[in-house]
Amino acid sequence: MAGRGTNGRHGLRGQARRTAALALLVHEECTQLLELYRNSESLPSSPVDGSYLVSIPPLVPQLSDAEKISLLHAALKECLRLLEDVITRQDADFSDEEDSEYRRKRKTVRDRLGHLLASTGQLLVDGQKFEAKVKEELDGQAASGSFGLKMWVVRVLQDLVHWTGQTSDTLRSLPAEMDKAPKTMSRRTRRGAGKIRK
Amino acid sequence: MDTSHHLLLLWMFLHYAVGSNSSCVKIIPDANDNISLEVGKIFTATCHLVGGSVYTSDDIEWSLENISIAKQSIRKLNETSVSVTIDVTSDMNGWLRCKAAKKTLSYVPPCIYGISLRAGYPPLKPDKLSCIAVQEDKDISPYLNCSWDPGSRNPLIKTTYTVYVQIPVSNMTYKADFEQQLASSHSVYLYTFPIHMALTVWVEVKNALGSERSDKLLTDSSSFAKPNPPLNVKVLTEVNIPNCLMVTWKHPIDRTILKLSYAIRYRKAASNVWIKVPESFTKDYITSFRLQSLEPYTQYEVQMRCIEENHSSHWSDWSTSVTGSTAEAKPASAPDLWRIIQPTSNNRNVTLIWKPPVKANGQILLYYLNISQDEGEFKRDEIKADKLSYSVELPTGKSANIEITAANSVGVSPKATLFIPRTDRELAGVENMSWSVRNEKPELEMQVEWTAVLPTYPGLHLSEYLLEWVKIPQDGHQTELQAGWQRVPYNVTKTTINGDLKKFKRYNISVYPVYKYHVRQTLQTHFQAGIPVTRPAYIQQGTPEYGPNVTVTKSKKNSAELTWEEIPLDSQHGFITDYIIFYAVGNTRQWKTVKVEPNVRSYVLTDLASETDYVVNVWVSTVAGSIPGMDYHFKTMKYGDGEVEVIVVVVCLSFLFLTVFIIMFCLRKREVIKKLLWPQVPDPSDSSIAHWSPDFPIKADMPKEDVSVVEVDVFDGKSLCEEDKAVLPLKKDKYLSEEHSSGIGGSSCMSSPRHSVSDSDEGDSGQTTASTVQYSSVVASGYKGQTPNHQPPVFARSESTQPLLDCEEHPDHLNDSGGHSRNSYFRRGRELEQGVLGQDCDGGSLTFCPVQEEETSPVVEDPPASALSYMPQQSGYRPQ
Repeated sequence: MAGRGTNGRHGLRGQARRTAALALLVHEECTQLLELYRNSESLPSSPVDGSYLVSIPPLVPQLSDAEKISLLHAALKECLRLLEDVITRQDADFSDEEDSEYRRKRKTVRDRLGHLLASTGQLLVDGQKFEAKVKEELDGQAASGSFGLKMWVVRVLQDLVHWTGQTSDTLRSLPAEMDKAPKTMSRRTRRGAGKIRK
Repeated sequence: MDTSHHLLLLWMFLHYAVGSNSSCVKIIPDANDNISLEVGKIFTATCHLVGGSVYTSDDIEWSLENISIAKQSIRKLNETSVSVTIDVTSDMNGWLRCKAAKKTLSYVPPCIYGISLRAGYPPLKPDKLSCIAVQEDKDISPYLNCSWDPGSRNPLIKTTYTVYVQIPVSNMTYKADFEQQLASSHSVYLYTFPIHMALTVWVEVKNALGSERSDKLLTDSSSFAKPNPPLNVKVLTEVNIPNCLMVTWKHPIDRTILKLSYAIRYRKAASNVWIKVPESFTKDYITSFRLQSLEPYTQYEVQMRCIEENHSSHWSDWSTSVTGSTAEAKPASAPDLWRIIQPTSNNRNVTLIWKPPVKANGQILLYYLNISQDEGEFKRDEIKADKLSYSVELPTGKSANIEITAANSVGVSPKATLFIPRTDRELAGVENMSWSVRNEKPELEMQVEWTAVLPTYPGLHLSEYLLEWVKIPQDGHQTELQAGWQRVPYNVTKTTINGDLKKFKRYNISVYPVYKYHVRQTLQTHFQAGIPVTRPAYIQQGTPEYGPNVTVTKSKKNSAELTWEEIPLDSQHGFITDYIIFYAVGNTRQWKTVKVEPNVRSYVLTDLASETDYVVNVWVSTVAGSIPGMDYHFKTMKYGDGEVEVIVVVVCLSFLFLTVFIIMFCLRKREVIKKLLWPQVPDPSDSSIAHWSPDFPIKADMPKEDVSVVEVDVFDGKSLCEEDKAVLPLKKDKYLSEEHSSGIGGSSCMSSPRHSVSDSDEGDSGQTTASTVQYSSVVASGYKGQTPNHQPPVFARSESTQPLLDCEEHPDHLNDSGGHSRNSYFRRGRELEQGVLGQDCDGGSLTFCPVQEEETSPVVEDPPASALSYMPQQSGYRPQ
């Protein structure tokens, strides 16, 4: 209930559960955002061909959960950077659409993606830091004009849907395993949290 | 221009009053703004004389809010410094001034400096911090509204509250601050509500005297969320399942934001008590639920609310009520059957009345009524649901068993039975029934109490009591019987009537014991009511609607009998306690009163004044009040009974006696009366003129000049001489007289010639002639230019008071007549006349002829036409 104190679900398990729920929410909202964009731009609902813009090493079962989270965190970080790039370019080109549902949702997704990034960052293990790669930057598509920009936006949004979905799936599979080693993860998380605060 | 002028004046004033940097005194501490002081503390300030000042510390004075500070609080530090110490109070807000001035007259301007003080308190620690973010559209609002308890102490000075919301994982902090002395809530804008994030929330409050921070709330952000109530809540009737209802709804928010569990509560539409479905039944993320164990054909209200599945969030508000009805089932209880029996001459008029089954479980469509009487008579009837009564005639010597069932669209109810015995087989009733009214706010209640009754026969069981109330009189325009009843368990002898008794209306309250016994022959169980005990009652009495109209049926000299009608029962509004008669004389309004019993309808007022106007009215009273009837005015008689008769008899007798007395008197004194009425006329023969002869003999002179006294009277043949009768037909002729004529009295002799006649020309009616007009006339034979050549005429006058008729008697004519009687008469007594009569008529020497009868009409003997010397009198008579 509101006003409840800090006791209860503020351990690692609670954090992982909240992050999983947030990942699922962001995934849903990214899906809605992509749908809204397609509708607003009258684009076909079929996915744009091509691989994802953001790439990380494959999440093979051999990787630990912490490693998977680190990889996903890196991917989400790039997704957020791409989304902010999209927002900057769209606002520069279509500044007249101030309060469309797409824009409201876009803002929500950006904020919540930032929340997800911060939340997954709490789950990172010390020293495990990966970088994600972005295959195709916007500069490569600039020659295609506004249509190329729109296709690039779609691909960015597809990446958002994909990587938030991956994160959600990965995190939802975590709690049962993380319950087994709460102390280790908790210690690591606390350190990680302190690092983030800095 | 004006503004700048005003500003200049203000600056000059402040410069003078407060001082300036160039003032010769300074106060320490000093500040550009207000100096805040904590209430209850001690504050010390020092005033310093700037170097080179002409003043000394003895010239320094302190004032606070233009009031000089007592010297006890001032301390001289040295020749140039003086300190002041004051206790800070909560109302201390104003300027503390230091002024250096000479106490004697001086041209040196004073020096003033001041500091502004504000008293207050340091803030208290905010307590009970809680925050909420309501659902907005399909998400949680980015505005987090926080509230706290700031404490009851007002800081009195400018205080700033700041709400902080921190997301620990991102180290991002949102805050919102505002100035208010005693704030208890504020909201923070979070851009996007950070759902599924841990948040830390706290409040800081700060002012010049200190700062405080509330306890931090570190919790999941969902605990601040408050979802909307479930959407599209519907209640669906379950066909063929009469005790179930299906409730469906939609999630108000996506499960990715808040995964909700639900709560359902319901109640009967007529009830105000909610029944809550156990939350364990609805904790899942579901969108429908079946309510069970409900009553058939009953309308229910359903409400829902929701909360995060782990109850971490705020509960939503309850949804608006949605109503739904369960399906019908067959009636589960019997109708409530009762009867009202009204005896007639040799029959009983039984009115069966009933109430629908309490558990009708549907809409009652029909009632099936079976009436079986003695000797196998049987009657069955179907009655529509809107009719709740049935009348039947039942002879006093017969009994009847009545059964009734109710049917709806699903089935038929259990039957209700009632047995009405023969008149001589009625069972015992209760005793000592009484009623009372209790003021159980907001309504009055009628409580009825009676003594228990014990069955007198073996096998007879007291089943229950039945309390009946019937309004009296029944309104004529209402077809429905205005009656009610309720059943009371057999072990209860005191209860409250649950019917809607109307105020000011009279009811007959009856208590019946209802017996139950088994009849072996028919194998039936009879329910039979005993003899009732009935009392009239009012739930509330009021003043009667109007007073009685009084009338006076008998008004006498000193009393009057009043009667009035009883006002209709519906207008009485209560039990009449008495009538009060008010009566007063006329408009004096000095009322006298008489109080009479409520059963009195007439009253005799006594000791009234005779022939006096009275006003009377009658007040009718109940325990609630009195009201007068119309005023009635009456007047008492002048005479009492028999007084008029006595007076009439006395008057009549007196009159009778008087009459007899007068008659007797007249008879005895008739001669006297006669003389009074008809005075004796002097006999002309005895008059001096008759014997008078001045110088010559009468006989010789008479033909020349003659005095004739003529009496014209009603003609009476009997009074005439025979020769007169010859001229009778001419009696109506006009008599022309051109001689001097005169009426009675001496004036006649001097009158001018004129007509003098006894009759008018136009009509000589009998009446005219019948009236006696008597003239006297002195005729000079020398008239009409016949100048007498002998002695002047002699005028003689009769001494009689008898009126005389003017007449002309020619001397020649007199002579010609040869002693015949002339038309000249004197009325006189019969005796006297007769004595003279013979002479006159015979001899003719005399010129007077007596009248024959006393009551003769004036008759004018017409002389022969040739000898006529009368002229018609045109102008009538001379008044006598």
